[in-house]
Amino acid sequence: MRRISRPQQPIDLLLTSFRRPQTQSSSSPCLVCNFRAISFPKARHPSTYVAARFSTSTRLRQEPIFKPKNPEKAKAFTDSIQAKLWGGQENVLGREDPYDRNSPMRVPGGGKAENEVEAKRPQIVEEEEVSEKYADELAEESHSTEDEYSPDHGRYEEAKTWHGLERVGSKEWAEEYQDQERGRLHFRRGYLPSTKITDPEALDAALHRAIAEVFTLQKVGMDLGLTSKRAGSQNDLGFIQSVKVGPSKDGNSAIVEFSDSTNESEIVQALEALAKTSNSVDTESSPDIGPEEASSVLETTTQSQRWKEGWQSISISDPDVKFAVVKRLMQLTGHRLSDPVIQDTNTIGQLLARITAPPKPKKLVEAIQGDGRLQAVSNVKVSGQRVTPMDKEQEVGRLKVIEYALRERGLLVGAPS
Amino acid sequence: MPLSAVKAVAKGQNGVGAFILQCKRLDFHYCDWAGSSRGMNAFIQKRLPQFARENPQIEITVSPRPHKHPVVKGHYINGREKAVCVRNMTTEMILEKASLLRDASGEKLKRVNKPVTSVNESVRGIWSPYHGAQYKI
Repeated sequence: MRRISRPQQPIDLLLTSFRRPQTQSSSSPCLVCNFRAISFPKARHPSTYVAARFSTSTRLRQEPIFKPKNPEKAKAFTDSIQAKLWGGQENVLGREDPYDRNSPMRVPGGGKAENEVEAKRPQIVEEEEVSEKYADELAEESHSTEDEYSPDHGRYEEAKTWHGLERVGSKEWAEEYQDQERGRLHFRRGYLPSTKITDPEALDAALHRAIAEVFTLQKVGMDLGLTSKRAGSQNDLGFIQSVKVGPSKDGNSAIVEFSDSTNESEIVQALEALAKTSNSVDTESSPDIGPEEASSVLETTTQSQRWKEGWQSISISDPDVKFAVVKRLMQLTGHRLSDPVIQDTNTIGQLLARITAPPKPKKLVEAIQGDGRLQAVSNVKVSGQRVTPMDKEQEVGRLKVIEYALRERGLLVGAPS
Repeated sequence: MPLSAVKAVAKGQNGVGAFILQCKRLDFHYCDWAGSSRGMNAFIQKRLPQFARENPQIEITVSPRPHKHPVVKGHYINGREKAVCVRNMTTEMILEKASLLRDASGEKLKRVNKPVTSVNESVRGIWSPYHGAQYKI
C-alpha cells in the first residue's frame, strides 16, 4: 500500500503557505531584517505550528489559513465558478465561509467580541505578539531547567576531613552498593557465620548443643526461639557438652540429662535474662560467635559422651521444635537448610546426615572419581581436560617427530629443546 | 595348453571361524556446563561402566568437550571414523547410538536393494563367447 509521507500532507502545505506572507508583510523592505525582526525561536518542530493553528486559542487562530494576493480578483473568480456550478448567482449555496471571522454563521459569544477587538489591531503587532510569545516560552523553559539542574543552591560545603563521608572501595561496600542499585534489600551479614563448619565431629557437637538447649526450654515451658536469639550469650555454657541427650520412651521427644542439676537452672536463667534484654535490643543483628570459635567450643567432648543410645531416632516432627533446632543449628554451623530439606527431615539422624553430606561435585570427572565404578573397568580411560590434537599426537608418539622436524627448519619457537 | 579353472582357495571371512569387531575405539565427549549434555553425563555415570564391561575389546575414552554438544565417536579398523551427536538425548537413546556405532563396519552407508547378498562366486562362472560350444550361424 502506498503511503504519503507526513511532510507532504495538506496540512503542512497550508502551513508553509501561511508562513511566507508573514515575513513579507513586515515594515522593513530588507528580507533579512524582517526575518530578524520576527525573531522566531530556535528551530521549532513543524508539528508545534500545526498544533498552534488548530489550537482552541482564538489568538492563535485568528488569521485565515489561505490569504490570496489579490482578494478582489480571487473573489470574482470564485463567484464565476460558483455561478457555473449552481446555475446562477441566486442559487449559490455556501457562499459564506463559515470559518471566516466575519461570517454571519459564526455563533455570537464570548470569543466574538474579543476577536473583533483584536481584529482591529495592525498585522505587525500581531506578528510581534506571536514572536514574543515564543520568546517567553523559551525563556520560561530555560529558567526552569536552570532551577532544576543548578548545582549550587548554597547547600554544598566542601569537606575538610574524611569524617562523616561515605567510605568507598571495599569489596563489601561494592556488593552492598550493587544490591542497592538493583533495588534489593541489603541483609546485614551476621546471622549465619561467613564460613561453614565441615568437620563432622564439630557438626555433631553443634547438633547436640542445639538439641540440648531446645529440649531444655521445652521442658521448662519457655519460648523455644530464645536459643537462637543471641549466639554470644550462650558461649559461657561450656558444660552443655557434657549433657547427655537420648530418646524418650515413646520416641517422640528427647531426654536431656544434666550431670549437675544446677546446670539446668543456669541455662534457664541465662535465657531468661536474654529474653528481658532482647525486648530493647535488636537481638538477631550480630552474633558474637564465629565458626572457628564455635568449633573450638564444641569439640571438647566425644560423640559417645554426648549422646545416649538410639539418639538418631529422636523426633523433631513438632514444627516448633524443628524450627528452633534448625535455626540454632544454622546459626552454629553456617549451613543453610532449604525449606524442602527442613520439610523432609523428621529425625535428628536425618538432620545430621543432611549437614554432613558432602557437597555435590561440580564436574563430572570429580563424580566419576568419587564413584570409582568407571575407573574399575580396564578398557576405559577418563580425561579431566579436553583432549587436544597435540595430546593425540603425543599419545601415538608422533609429537616428538613433529617437533624435531619443526626444530630442524627453525619453526619451533619458544619450545624447550 | 588346455584351460583349467582357477583353483578355489578358502578365503578368510570375518565371522567364519573368528569374528573381529570392526570398531576399535569409542570416544565419549561431554560438557559440564551445557544442558544438552545432561543425558550424556548421566549415561557416563550410570550406564557406561556396564557397557564397557560388556565390550572389553573396545577401547573407551571419556573426555570433556567444553561448550559443545555431546558426541560419541567410533573409530574403526579400516581407518574411518563415525561421529553421532547425542545432544538432549536420554540415557537409553545414547545407549542405542553407542550400540549402533559398536556394531557398524566403518564403511560408508550403502543402499541395499536385494533381499540376499552373497559373497560367494557364481558356480556357473562368468559367460564368455570364446569358450564352450562354438555356434555357427
